[in-house]
Amino acid sequence: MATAELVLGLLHNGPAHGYDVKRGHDAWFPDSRPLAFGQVYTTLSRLERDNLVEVVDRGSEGGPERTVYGLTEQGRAHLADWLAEPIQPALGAVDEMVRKVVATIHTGEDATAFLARQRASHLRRIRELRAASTDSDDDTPARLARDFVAVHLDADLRWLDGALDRITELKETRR
Amino acid sequence: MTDLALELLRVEYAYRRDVALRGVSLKVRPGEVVAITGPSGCGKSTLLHCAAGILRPQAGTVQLAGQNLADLSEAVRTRLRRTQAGVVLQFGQLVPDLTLIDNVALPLLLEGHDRAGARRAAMEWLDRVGVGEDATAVPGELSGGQNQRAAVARALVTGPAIVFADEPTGSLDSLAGEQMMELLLASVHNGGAALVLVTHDNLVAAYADREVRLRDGAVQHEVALS
Amino acid sequence: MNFATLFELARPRSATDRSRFRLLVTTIAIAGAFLLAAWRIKRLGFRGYYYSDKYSDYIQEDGIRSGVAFAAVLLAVAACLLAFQALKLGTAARDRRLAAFRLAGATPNQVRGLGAVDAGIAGLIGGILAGPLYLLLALAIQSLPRTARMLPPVNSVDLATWPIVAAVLTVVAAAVGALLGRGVISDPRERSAKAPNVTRAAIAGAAGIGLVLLSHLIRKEYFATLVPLGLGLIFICLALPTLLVAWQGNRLERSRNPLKVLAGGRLLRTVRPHGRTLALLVLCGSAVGFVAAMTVELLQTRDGFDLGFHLTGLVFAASAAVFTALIAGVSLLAGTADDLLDQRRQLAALNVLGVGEAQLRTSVRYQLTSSVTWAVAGGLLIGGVLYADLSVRDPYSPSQTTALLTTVGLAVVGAGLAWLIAGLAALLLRGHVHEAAAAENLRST
Repeated sequence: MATAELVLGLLHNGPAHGYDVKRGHDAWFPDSRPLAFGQVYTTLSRLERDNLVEVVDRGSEGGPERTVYGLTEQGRAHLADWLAEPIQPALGAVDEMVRKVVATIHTGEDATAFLARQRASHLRRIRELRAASTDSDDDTPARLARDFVAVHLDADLRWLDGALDRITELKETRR
Repeated sequence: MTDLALELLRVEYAYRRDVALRGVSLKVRPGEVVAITGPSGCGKSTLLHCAAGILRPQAGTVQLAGQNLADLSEAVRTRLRRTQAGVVLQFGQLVPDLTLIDNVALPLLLEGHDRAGARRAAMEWLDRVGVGEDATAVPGELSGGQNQRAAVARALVTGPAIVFADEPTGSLDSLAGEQMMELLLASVHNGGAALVLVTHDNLVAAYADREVRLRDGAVQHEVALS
Repeated sequence: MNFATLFELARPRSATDRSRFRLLVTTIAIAGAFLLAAWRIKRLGFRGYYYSDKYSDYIQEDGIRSGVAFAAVLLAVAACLLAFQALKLGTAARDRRLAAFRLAGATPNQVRGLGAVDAGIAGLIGGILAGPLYLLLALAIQSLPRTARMLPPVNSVDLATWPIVAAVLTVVAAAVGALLGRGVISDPRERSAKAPNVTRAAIAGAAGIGLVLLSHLIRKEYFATLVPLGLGLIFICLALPTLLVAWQGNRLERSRNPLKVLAGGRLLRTVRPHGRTLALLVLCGSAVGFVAAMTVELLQTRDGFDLGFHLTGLVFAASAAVFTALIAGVSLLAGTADDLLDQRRQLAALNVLGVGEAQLRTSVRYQLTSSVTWAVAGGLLIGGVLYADLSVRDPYSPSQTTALLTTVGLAVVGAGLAWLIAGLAALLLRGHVHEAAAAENLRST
């Protein structure tokens, strides 16, 4: 979870309070879990220690809520590097669905019913995401996030189809 | 006389020696959106052709807008198809020799409308689907997306009870495909028509209220999505 | 790639390929037969009177003899033009096949080789068949009365000329086939069909009329007057189809009958490939009209004296024109069938709307009758008027009224016949219509 770099990104347009950082994050990713305040301030102090952000204004009361943070030159450079680096594809991470399908093969349970239920579940989720996109005003970053989820759900379903075909084939050749 | 937009009962169809459908039953209510999915070769397109009255099944019945197709003469069946069923294909369905407006007006002319009235209605539909500016162009001069929009207009111009779409986004990229689906759904809802979507694309299937999945010519499962 | 492979790949595959092949072989054979005939006449020599009581005066008199030989060559050229049209049939499907070969790794030269073999084989078979065809022609002509024997009988020299003509036809066919077989890799999307260029046609037509009027400046006695006249005629023949098609196409498209709308659209978009064949029809029509007017004037002025001589020539000329027109008609038919198969997916989709096979046949009938009828009528009128124009320059020529009335009458009759034949031809396309409208064409990729 690249929270540190995200916070740098949220400060890109100018210095802000910790509260504004949290609000910005939640606006960017409306479907994800909201960012906790504690996490925001911990991240900000870590970044300050690493010299990637600096305190721009202490605030009259002196508490952390009133402190205004801004990016340092180093912080900007770090952010640029992070944005330029491509994501390494996750290897070896075995999803819940894979576990279920493998278990289905070994226990000899009916895979067709599972496929039907899983398809219904995934397709409904895609519909919900689509409905959310049409409800809100066109906020492209939010939309992109939803599209990402939808496309991955599609990929799950396609994998599932292929997996079940393989199982059927295997059963038939063994018979 | 039922109020279903479409009903198929144990329909069987074989192309010479190749059995495509083995007793498929399907009900579609007015205004419903149904997705027919399945791997390639499972019989989806054949099902669509039987439902639209293009092919005559060797067994089973097809009731389109409450009328049993087998009971009707060729002429009446054709008229029923033309007025009650719209068809949108993946590509290449517009007559390349005619302009978009003439293409869309064609079903109305076949129904016996006068030319001016038919062209007026066609122009309205072309505006609705967003290609009004290209009304006097021929399909060869336009992009796939524009042609597909005109195809939707042509399918809906007679106000059918049901629209059949066979891989309507198959030749389009994801963004154009999304716009096409939104257009199709909006147009179909406007006219109160049902929509039967044949697709192998899950993202397209997700637009439906119900999914009917085929495998080897038979129904594998049916799930509600809404 | 050795020859056997080339041959295997170039072989005709579908029904369209086979009918194209047949048409190609037929037209090449006809061209070859006429070339052999011209050569035979040439062997009588072009100078001096050839005395014989067995042949027509047409080949006895040296001046006319060269004319007859020239006419035979012209007929051969017409047949070659139609062969060229046949070669270009099925272009869309063949382009795709050739592009597929390119993608599979064939070099442009190998693809040209395919085109060459494809056309060359037709040329060879056509050239070989030209021999028996020429023999038939000679025998048929010999069976006519003496005045009509325009062709001397076959002699042993023909055994030598035949293979030479066959070889030349094979080589020329192969060369043209190689030139046409490009096999471009780019996706040959629907041939961007162009609408008829009316302005250009109108200018060409006006230029043609201008040339004919120009010929008035040259005195009738000189053959030179025929040059601008002939050129003008050619311009008019090339321009008329475009104007005709534009007129009829737009008229049909404005109808409330959807089948006429379809026919009109198809006419307008196929003006380029079919225009040439229609131009040939117009030319044949003018030849017949010209000959008819000449015959009328002949019957008016001469009274029995060597009437047989002149009439024979005129009948021959008219028959040759009608014959060429018929082959042109076949070529047009093949082209129309080709267009139908090109659009099979769209036509199958129309089936859903209720445009079934019967309706499609009717639409094709509208398309053929509207273009052919007016082309023939136009040609007949032009021929008659042209002759009248030529005749009028002679102060001793009779009144043109009868001739012009005959021309009009002929145009009406000719148009009626053309209409009937075109209607029948549409019936011949039954098989192609059936293939085009089949539901299998709707399969998605």
